[in-house]
Amino acid sequence: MSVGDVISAVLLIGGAVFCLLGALGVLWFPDVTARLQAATKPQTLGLIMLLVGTAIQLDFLYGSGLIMVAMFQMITAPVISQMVGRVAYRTGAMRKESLVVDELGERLAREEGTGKSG
Amino acid sequence: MSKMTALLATRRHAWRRAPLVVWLTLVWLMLWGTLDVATVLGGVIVASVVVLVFPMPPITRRGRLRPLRVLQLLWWLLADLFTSAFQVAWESISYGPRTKAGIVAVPVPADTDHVVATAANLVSLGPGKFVLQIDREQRVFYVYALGMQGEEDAAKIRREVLEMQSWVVRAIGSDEDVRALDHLGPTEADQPAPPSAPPSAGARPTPPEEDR
Repeated sequence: MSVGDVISAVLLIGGAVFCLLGALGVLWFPDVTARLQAATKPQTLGLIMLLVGTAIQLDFLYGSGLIMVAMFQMITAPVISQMVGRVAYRTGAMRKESLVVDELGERLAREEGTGKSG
Repeated sequence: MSKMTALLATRRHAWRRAPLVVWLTLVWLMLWGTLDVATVLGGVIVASVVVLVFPMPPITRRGRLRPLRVLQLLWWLLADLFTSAFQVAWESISYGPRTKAGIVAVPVPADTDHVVATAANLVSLGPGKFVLQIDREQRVFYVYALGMQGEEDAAKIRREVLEMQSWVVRAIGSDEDVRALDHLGPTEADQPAPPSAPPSAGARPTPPEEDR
């Protein structure tokens, strides 16, 4: 067993653990935005670890494709979470009682009061 | 007529988009997974067509790339990814459906489009936080943060997001943006050490992409 094997074993198991944690979060968190955190983020890290762990075992030529998958995942995950989160907030799908502070809501309420559209 | 001048303008600035063509060709090569003359030529043609047919809107690029700072930013980001992944996992295990969250307004010191966009993306990349709304004119991020216990945590979230922004500004921001950081005061932005990187994150096996 070479050093590469050990590193990829650690990465593969670690990646699987993060994917599992993400799944548990989706199961347990209260609303859309909280679940979004669990669905997109630990899973992104888990996927990247899995991909890197696999890439170590491959020739660089094939490994480079996996690195691209990781890269596009990192670029798209924040965009998705922003879009979905924004829609959830605007349509009221977010559970307001689980928010301890909502400075955006305060501002929107203020601007509604002064007649500006938010 | 206007189409003609637009086309001419496109041609004139074509060389500026050469890096984009190179990058797209590289992506093309990696997708094919082969390296020969035909693939390279095909890649250059496809990339040029993409760049010419779908020109990106011009943005002001006053930023400056500081390679050492970029490395620091990447390292910080990796530590942040691990720590916040554990935090979110801990929230889900210990609080579950009773997890509390909050939306915090955070000032944005930078005034360069791609710096603001990068900062927003990186804040959203780490688990537990994402930028719900950007007010570009008044320079405010509205950040959703998971795992807040009460209103007193808002200051902590604000500090963390400001710190993330300061790393981005130092890596790719313009000189003005870096100067704007100094006005934030020493407590908010001038912490050189990676924040909240616990020993567990540092003691992990070195990620292989740094070995190569």
